[in-house]
Amino acid sequence: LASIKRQKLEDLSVDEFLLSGFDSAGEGDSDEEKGKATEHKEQLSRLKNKDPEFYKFLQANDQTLLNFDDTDTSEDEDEKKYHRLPSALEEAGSGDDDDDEDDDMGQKASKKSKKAVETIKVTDKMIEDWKAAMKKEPTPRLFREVTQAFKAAVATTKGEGGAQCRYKVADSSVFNALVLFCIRDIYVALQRMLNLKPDKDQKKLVLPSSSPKWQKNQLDVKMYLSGVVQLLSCLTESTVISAVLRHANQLAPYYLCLPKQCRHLVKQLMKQWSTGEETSRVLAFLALNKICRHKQETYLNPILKQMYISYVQNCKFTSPNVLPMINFMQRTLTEMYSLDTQATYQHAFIYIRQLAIHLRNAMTMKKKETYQSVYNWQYIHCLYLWCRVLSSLHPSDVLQPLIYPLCQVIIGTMKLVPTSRYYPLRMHCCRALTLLSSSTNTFVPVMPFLLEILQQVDFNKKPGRMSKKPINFAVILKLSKVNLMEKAYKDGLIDQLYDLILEYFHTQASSIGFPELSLPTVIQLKAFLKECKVANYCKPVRQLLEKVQENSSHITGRRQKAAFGVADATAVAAWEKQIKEEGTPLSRYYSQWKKLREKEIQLEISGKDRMEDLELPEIKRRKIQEKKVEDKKEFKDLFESDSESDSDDGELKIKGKLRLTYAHSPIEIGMPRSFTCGTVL
Amino acid sequence: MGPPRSKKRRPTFRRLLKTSGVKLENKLKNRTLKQQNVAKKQRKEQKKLRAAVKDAAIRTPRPLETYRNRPEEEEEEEFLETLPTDMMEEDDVQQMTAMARQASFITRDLSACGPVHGGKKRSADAVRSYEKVPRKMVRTEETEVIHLLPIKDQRGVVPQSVERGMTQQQRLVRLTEMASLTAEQRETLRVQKINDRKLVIASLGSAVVSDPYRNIKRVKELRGMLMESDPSVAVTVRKLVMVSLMEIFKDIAPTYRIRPLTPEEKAAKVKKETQQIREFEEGLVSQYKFYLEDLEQTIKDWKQQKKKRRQAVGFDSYRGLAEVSVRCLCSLLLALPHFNFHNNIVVVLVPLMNDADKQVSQMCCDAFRNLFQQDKEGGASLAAVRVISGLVKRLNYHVRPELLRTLLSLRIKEVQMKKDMEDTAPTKKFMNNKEKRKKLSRMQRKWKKAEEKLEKELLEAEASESKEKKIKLHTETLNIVFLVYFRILKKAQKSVLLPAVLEGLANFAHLINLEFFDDLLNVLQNLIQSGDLTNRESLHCIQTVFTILSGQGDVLNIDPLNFYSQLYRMLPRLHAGAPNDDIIIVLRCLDAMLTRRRKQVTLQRAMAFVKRLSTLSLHVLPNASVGLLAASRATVHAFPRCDLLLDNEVQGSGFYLAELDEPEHCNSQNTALWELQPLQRHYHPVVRRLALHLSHGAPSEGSAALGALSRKSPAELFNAYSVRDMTFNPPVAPPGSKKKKSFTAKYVFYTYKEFVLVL
Repeated sequence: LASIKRQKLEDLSVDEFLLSGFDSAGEGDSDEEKGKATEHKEQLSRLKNKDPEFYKFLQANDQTLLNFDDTDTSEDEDEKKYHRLPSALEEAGSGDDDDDEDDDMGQKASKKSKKAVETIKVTDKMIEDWKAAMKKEPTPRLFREVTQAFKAAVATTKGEGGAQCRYKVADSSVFNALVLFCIRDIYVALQRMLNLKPDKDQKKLVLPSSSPKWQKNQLDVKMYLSGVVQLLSCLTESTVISAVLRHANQLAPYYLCLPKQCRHLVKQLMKQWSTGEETSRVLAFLALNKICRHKQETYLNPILKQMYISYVQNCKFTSPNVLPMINFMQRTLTEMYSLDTQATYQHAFIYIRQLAIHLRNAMTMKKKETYQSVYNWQYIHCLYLWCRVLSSLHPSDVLQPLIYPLCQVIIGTMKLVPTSRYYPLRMHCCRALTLLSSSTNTFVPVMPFLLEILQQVDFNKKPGRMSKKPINFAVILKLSKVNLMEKAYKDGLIDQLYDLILEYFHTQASSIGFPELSLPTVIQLKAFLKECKVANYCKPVRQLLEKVQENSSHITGRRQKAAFGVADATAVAAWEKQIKEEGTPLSRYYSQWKKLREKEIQLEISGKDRMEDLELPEIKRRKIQEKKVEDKKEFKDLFESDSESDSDDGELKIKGKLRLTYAHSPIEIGMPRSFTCGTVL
Repeated sequence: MGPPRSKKRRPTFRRLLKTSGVKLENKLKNRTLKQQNVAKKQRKEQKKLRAAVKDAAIRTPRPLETYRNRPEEEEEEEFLETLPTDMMEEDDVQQMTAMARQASFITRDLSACGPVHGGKKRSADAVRSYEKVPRKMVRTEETEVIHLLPIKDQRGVVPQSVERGMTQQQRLVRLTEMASLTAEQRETLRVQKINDRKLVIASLGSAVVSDPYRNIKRVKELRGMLMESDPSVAVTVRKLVMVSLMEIFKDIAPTYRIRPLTPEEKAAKVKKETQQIREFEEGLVSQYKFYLEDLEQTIKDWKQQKKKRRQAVGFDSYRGLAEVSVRCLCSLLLALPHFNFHNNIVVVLVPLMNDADKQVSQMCCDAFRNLFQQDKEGGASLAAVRVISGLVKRLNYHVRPELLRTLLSLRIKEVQMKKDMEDTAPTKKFMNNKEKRKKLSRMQRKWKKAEEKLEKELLEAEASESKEKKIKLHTETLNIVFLVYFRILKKAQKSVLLPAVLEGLANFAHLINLEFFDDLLNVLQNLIQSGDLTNRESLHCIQTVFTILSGQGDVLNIDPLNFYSQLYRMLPRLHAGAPNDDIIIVLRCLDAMLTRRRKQVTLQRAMAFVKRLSTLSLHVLPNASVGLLAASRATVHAFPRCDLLLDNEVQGSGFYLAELDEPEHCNSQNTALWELQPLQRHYHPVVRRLALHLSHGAPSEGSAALGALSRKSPAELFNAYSVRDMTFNPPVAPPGSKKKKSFTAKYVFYTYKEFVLVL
């Protein structure tokens, strides 16, 4: 029977419902229908299409038939599964139980006696009673009972029989109701039971250990918390995970009081943060952030370390679909690093040094294997991460000294194998340097590396072959030999160079040395225009040249009138500030261009969503979701449950926001100073 | 057919050695004795064969194998010679010639074929000899079939052939033995054999090194092992022997050159010890010579892809052997430059510098580079340079640029130009002598001669190379080097060697003779203006020109305005990418162009350069930025009026034309060094500091002063801040504030130290 529940749990529509039920109060009844119907969604929909009247009749009168089929088919499979899965989690769970037993002799005895007795089967009625009782007056005894039941429910997810539990959760509907009840009501009940009142100061967290009743209830809370972590560890459906994560987030103060449970929770959160779905990533990050903020001295360093490691582990492969996730991790990790700059200095110091050592080995060995230890996505994403960290935490005396080694490492990386096949990598580096230089007000020579490309590639040469689709420079490091011959390669190169040059000059547009900064570029672009005979390439380059020259003469004219000398740094700073506020020709053009470009990229992204040849698993997932939406619509019609549709919309809203917030665009470099969690939730 | 074939090859070393008379006599004696022996054997053979032929005539025909099984002695040629040809009839002769022809093409299967010795291969039964060879073991065991003259009996002409070396039975026994072993057993057997040989080598070697005077004979034994014939271990053992002999010779060779004794010396009676030393020397020289010959021959075999007869070494191993030989020769080249045959080693190795095999040429080039660097006396360098020049000329300038680059390592910077100039005119000196002869009386001349002789002896007694001699050698070397360079400049301007030549010229520019200046300047000017040169090459040209002009060339009254413009034009083309390393040349040029020639440079030009250098420093890596800023600083010091560039006031008329490539006409007085502002935000701390310093007019005191940095030249700064090996100079600063907790503070301190250490 446990198997059924587990199967149910993994079942999509149950989970959907669970979440929706969580959002909309008091809709516990309809879960049965939904849960049972899942297997037959397609059948039903087909039936509905064919014979809507019979379908309705069936739906109203013959639920059991459907149910029967459902359980029948799933049982065999799941039993087989349990033979194969001697789960480690199971042991961990029992270990926890042992702990509890060691802690309290009395309870141990009572448990033993309970074991002898036949376990009690949890029913809907019991849950209803508990719920009512909780609402009225949460007592420790009641809480213990609920915890036991919850534990039993969690135990079923691992396929373990409720041997050690007082209760037994045998039915999927009961399971759902119980979990839902716990997630929704337990937090409030606990607060009331322990007499915890929110502090006047909203920022400060009230630790439950400060309550006089804490000692008495500690064991049950502990059990409950480990139950939640366990539940988290075996969930697979994102919406349920999100619900549980929210709950865990609420319970954060309790976790903070119990180090062991907290460690386990952190582990799970880490997993969600680095590999989960969008929403769960955000929620996991929020929980992590909460934990770090409130117990910095114990948790910050290990959590930062773990986060960095799982970041590195999860940015091995980069594709248009993964890129937003990596971006998200970069941003959130930056947020974490902003908590304590001293600690950040240590981390950044060690990891930048590690990057430098890798690079140095590659430089001295000059072998393919060693330079591949540098020329990979993980390395590049790490460089980018540190650029982000240093630029978003910019006015910081502590981190300032790290700009120099980081720049040197990035430039060294670019210069390691400066061949045309690694142009995309070079562009990534240039982008990172531009970001770093603009937001830290540091001067870094980026332009020479871009102009070198313009110099090295012969744009007049006819492409060897036509290509099917454009090259997406954002998700490659290395071009294949075939790519180098394609037309798309040169088109993309000009495009990228245009973007990058404009981007860089935009960051320097109001600098008093702009004419000198742009001199080699002007010479180079003029030479290019003289040489190049391809009109498609000449056009953007000519436009770029015009803008740069315009800006250059603007600055020259303005500074000629200035009344201060070269040595007067403060006057120069004031002058530059003024120019910036007034706006330069280049910055005006840039903002105009950027709007267009962003629109283009949005189009591209939406186009990519439709494209179905990129990543198979990804596509599959989307299809299922689409199907789900369709199903939901059907069910909505069937049951006319308004609440459901509301919640549905809510979820979509969240998703939409996420996409907007985290969608990666190649030109979008700057990030908002603080990560706006509020809007997401 | 001719006298017995000499077993020894005739290598080039032989010609160069004057072996002592005794040795030659001994050799002659040996040869005659050998001939006598051979003659005896021949007679015996003849007898036997005649008997056999008679037998064959009487007996019933036998299968051919029996003939082959008959043990044969080596001297088949002599045997053939003595065969009475008049026994043959016309058509027989024809058939035989046909067979002989056949043999030379068909039966000579490629694995067993050696150099073509016309008389050796007479005839064969192709199929049968092929059938004889067990297919399995073809690779390890090579049968060599010697085709003998056919025998004629009643049935006609019977072709004959003998297998060399072992008889059939022996071979069969051995084959079965080998076949019975598994691969593993064979491997262990091989390892065992190698270990045995190693022990032998070690004992011989230690014997020689411990007492070379007595044990010089052991060297010969050791050398004998170079002919190791067991195919399973031959390659390894040979390599081992080569290397160990090389080390032994390095150890036991005296620090002087051994010369052959004159007949008088030989005739004179000497002490026992002297005699021993003489014997040792003689033995050493001859063994060394043979050893070198062996090495050379190995290399030659590899080059000619020639398969030796009776060679126990597979074809593929040639390369490895040759490489080891080259390595041995290279280390001998470096270790024993004073010893006999050094020239010969040079002669062997120089062509290998241009070898198609990259590894070999690399090895040789490195050896010569080291030789040039080590060589203090100059003699060895001169010899090497001579041979190199000959090679370059002979190959008509189709050589690798690396070969010419080795010349850059010559240590000739210490030569004094004055001496050089005197010495380059030997004719003048000769005339002096003649004049002297005319002027001085006979007695005076005699007196002078005696004096000179005495001086010479004194010098010899001093046993040190006089400076004069060294300079003479250096001058001669350099003359040859320049000859090579000029020839290439003249004849092969388009060749790949041009960069190497220009680099070399730039390197030795201060040693070029005055008389070449005019031509050279013209050639360089044409080269630069042709526009075919890369940036680096042009920079080398400019460097050469200005090194010349700042040295003795200052007597020439030329204003190389054109070269200034060239450099000025080139500056914006340099950047942080690949050309970043060329900036060191720019820095060297600038030193000669602006600082040393400040009297000949106008303020306009200097200011234009300062402006462009500062602009350039925005676009290069930090080390180059530091160098360029330091160069600007030096210029600002040399031309104090450059402080115009720090004010924002317009002087006179016109705007600054940044893109104009003429330093005189770009109105540089009307601009300011605004780029120093972005440079003060540079990520590299030292650049920031220098920029601040310059923006305050390069003061020597105050907050913007440089301190220790100011004592280094731009080129030194460039090298000091190079990031080629990813070093962080200056090191990354430790966190400024104290840590909250002690353990973290310690942690950071530790990592900081490590940072500094590791990076």
